[in-house]
Amino acid sequence: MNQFLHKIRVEWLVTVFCAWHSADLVSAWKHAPYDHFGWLALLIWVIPALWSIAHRAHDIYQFKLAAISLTVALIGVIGDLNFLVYWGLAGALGSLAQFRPLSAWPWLALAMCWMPVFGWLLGTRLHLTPTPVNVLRVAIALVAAVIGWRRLVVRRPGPAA
Amino acid sequence: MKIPAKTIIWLTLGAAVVLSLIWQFVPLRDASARLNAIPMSGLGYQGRELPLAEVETSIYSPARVVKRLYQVGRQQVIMVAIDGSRNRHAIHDPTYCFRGAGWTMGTARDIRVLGGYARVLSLTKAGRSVEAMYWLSDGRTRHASALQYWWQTTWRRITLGHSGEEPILFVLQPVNRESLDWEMLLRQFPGLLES
Repeated sequence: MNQFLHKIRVEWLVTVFCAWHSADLVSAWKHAPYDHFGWLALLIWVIPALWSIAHRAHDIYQFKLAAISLTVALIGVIGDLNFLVYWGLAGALGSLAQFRPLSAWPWLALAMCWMPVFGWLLGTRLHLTPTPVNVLRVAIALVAAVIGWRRLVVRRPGPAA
Repeated sequence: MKIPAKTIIWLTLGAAVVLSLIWQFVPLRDASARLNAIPMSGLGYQGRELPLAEVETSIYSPARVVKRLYQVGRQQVIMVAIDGSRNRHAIHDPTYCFRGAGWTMGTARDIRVLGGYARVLSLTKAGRSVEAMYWLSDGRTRHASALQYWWQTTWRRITLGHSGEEPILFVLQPVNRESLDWEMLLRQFPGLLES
């Protein structure tokens, strides 16, 4: 049993769990004017993580980040707070990408750019209309991708101690 | 005996899956009874059901929505009442929805109603001005705060419905007019504030 558990990466399962509970994102991107470019922001934001997963230098995952992400997502599921589930998904993707929890935080914080809560905050607090919010989403996703790229690719982390 | 961290996260993941299934599939007591109690007609007012547009159905589903046209005295109003028990995310901050639909927000004023307050918004779009009134009601208290709604419904879900009743969102808009005498409307149609 233990061998079986060691063969399956729990980080992948945490990601699947978070993605399963993040299905509402698709509906938001489709129907909510403030969220129309959320999918594009997510695609840009996730590029460094995908690159890191595809060019894995070693078989080290970020187990602690996965554990934190799972906890955050679970609180989100129980309280029906989608933004926590989405941040859980972001953290789980970070754990697959070999981000260390402390170096991941700017990239994770900027994950807000693809979440509906970003549109809600800018729309209701700053009174912005959907178009500038969607442009900002993509701009912030580009910044996040550059930050993630620098941390994951330029300063590629070695195996954790 | 020290439990390996990996075992702990496996157990947590298992618990997360089980808990999320429980929270998804144990139905919350919904607000159907209060939606059903919104009167269709009475002394001085008469209503009829309006069908939901296809896009409304896909946005709200599986939340329960009642959409009606009421004649209240000389005033006509469209009422949309949404119970988000089965899909809390069907209920958005109305100011966010109106902005998303291209309306520009003007003034907002609160009207005291039984158990709290309702909010009247002034909206403009392409040279057209209109007002809308909304409130959230758990049957006892009424308010127009999205954050308070989040708090009420989050706590309600954590406690599996034991913390209180699900708030219903009521949104009222005039028909073929910019504005209504909202206070008079509520006086002539007191049943609106009973659910």
